[in-house]
Amino acid sequence: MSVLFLAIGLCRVALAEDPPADPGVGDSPVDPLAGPGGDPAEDPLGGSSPTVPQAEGPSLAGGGVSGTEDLRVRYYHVEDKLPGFEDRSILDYVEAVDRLDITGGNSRFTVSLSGDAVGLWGNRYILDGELVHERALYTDIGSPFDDALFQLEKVSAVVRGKKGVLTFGDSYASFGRGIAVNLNKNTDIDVDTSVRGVSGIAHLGNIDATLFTGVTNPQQIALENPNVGLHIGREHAVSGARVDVYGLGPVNLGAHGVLYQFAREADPTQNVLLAYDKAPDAAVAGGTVEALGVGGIDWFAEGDFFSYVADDLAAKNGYEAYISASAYPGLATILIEGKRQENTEVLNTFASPDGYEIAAGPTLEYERVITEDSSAAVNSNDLTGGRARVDLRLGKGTDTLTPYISEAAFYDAEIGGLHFNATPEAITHTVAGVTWVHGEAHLLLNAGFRLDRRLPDGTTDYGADRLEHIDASLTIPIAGPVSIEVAPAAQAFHWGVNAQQQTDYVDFSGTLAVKIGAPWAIILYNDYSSNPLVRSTGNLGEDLYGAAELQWKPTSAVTLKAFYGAYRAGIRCAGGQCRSLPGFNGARVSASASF
Amino acid sequence: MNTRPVVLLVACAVGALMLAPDALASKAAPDFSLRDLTNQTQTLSQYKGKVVLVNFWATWCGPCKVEMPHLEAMYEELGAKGFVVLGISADDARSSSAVKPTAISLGLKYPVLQDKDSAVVSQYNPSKTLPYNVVVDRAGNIANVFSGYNPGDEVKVKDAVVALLGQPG
Repeated sequence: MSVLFLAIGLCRVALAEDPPADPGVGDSPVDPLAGPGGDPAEDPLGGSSPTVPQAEGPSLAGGGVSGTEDLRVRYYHVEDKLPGFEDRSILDYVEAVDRLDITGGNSRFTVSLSGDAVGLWGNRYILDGELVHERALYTDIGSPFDDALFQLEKVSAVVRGKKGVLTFGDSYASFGRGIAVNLNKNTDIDVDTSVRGVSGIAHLGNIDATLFTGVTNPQQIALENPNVGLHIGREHAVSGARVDVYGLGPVNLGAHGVLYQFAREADPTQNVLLAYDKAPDAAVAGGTVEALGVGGIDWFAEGDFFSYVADDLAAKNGYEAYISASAYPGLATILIEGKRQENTEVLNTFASPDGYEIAAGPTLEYERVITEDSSAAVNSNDLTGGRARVDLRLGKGTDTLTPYISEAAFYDAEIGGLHFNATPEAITHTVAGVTWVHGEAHLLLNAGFRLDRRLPDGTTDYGADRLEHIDASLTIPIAGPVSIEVAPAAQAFHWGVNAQQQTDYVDFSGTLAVKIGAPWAIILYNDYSSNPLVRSTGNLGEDLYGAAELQWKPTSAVTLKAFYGAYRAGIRCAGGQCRSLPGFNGARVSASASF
Repeated sequence: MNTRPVVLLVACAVGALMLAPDALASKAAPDFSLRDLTNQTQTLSQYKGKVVLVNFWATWCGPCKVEMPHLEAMYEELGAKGFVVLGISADDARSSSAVKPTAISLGLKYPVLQDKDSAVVSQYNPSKTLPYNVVVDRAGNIANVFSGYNPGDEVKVKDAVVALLGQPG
């Protein structure tokens, strides 16, 4: 009940109006990164733009409705054949997915809806007089149609006052560096988990107070990946509170707490309010300290303590400490990060099976090259590590060359399971690259070497896993509106000695795009993988994949794409979360629009 | 085979896409309040009377890093005429420490704000396409949306901004 009272109190504060005299940000400290509030001398034009008008209240304009629509129609060519019908592609099918996001209201009050619809064609056939349903679109989700499903994924009403924001329905939650809670939109890998309940943030002078309570609401229908066997997700009750105190000289302090009660199985009939009557399964408490410009360095530190109450969680407690320091001497930017985590992944025990994570702190990894091997370190329950990165910016404006080098080192003491090893690992990962921008031309280049050395136990030398990788994106204007973009990426992986004794492999992917002004692009894709853990088959050969895509942007707000061919399966990571995504073979038409 | 719901679905979706206009008229831009890289609070409403380009980007987004120097050049050229860029980092909390170093290495002088819990991106850019630009006119209405980045797109963005700067507030 105390949570409810706190929520009501927060509502009253958030919606309160201030007296008209508000200093605005015009009084903010001089800093070019603070933008127009900074020193007018920073503006090369020396004009009036750096002067920020005094706040006139949040009202901007009248009402209206806007939104986005994403449509995907995919034809899946299935390599497997029905026995006795090898000459026909009976198992091929078509999937259509549509996502509609609508936001209506005015600048102070908005209502947002996000709805998904998915349908399958050609998903059935008649064999020996009997109708066979080849694959079930869903299992226990109610729908009046066998092969179609409509789902209202997110609903929210947002009220903005001068002192804060209040959200009813779906919102997202993230404290500190995401160690205690990080429920977020991660559409790159088709993950979008919100908290359905109430959330609010109140701005009380130099203090921000944040509160949320509700149940997890993972996105049910995938936009970019096949939808098969959709089922009701488990609703985990989550409540959290955080207070940030700003302006203590250069120092800002924060403290937070999060309570979790996990659902062991999906139960749509359960009254979610009953969760508040039960003891939490886990609690996380933490604090943050940020100091900007102290000794010429921006500092951030966070510590979180995890307490696991439930007996079916694999640990009784855990902790994570994270620290970062960044400095900007001359043309260089330097970022150093370090962390120590123990039993933090236990918190995700009941969320991971549904394809998302409740909390994900900084991984300090180059996430583009996460492999089956390194994903174990990402999800380790006993890891110590750090990373340092130095960028050097040469040139000005749209004519710059920025080389960088990054070095990461980890000690992963968790063994067994996904780690494929019997002893702890010492990991080093060096990545270097360059960003070059020259008007319309640019080059992004990254290359690295990773070594996962299994520490010897006195009797056996387990060797080391090695990964070499490179990726690049080069765009060159050719003539008039025509430009060419080439984007190759390759990696070679060599396993050390371990119980599984997997096979070494090479991956390659390449993209060649011809862009004709802003509206048109023709893109050719090529994939190759000899990784036996990749569960897909190429269309140009066992391990070779090829595809072509035509893109057309008839307006700045509409993008249409037509794709034909195949790409491989593999691990894809974004936002600290990794998913093993399936490959694709067939044709796809997609359309995205903002209106 | 019951294909009616699927046909209906596709028909509705295609219809909506066909109706999507290039320029959006009279759509109020939802206000937001976010901390910049010096932890000062910035709201959209404080820039009422200016043309605002809200640019969604992320530290791991390659095309964003190519586009942003062009936006900075636009900000420096048109700032005196009442133009502001608000760069909103869509990085989640775990990569927050990299936002300021990235902004500095890109030479950005316009305000960079952090939307760590997707509060603003879910209102403006629910599919979280990056980069994603929303042009807000002097009256606080969404005037244009630009999704993704190809070389030359910055010219279209600038044309839209210049046209709005020529309009009365």
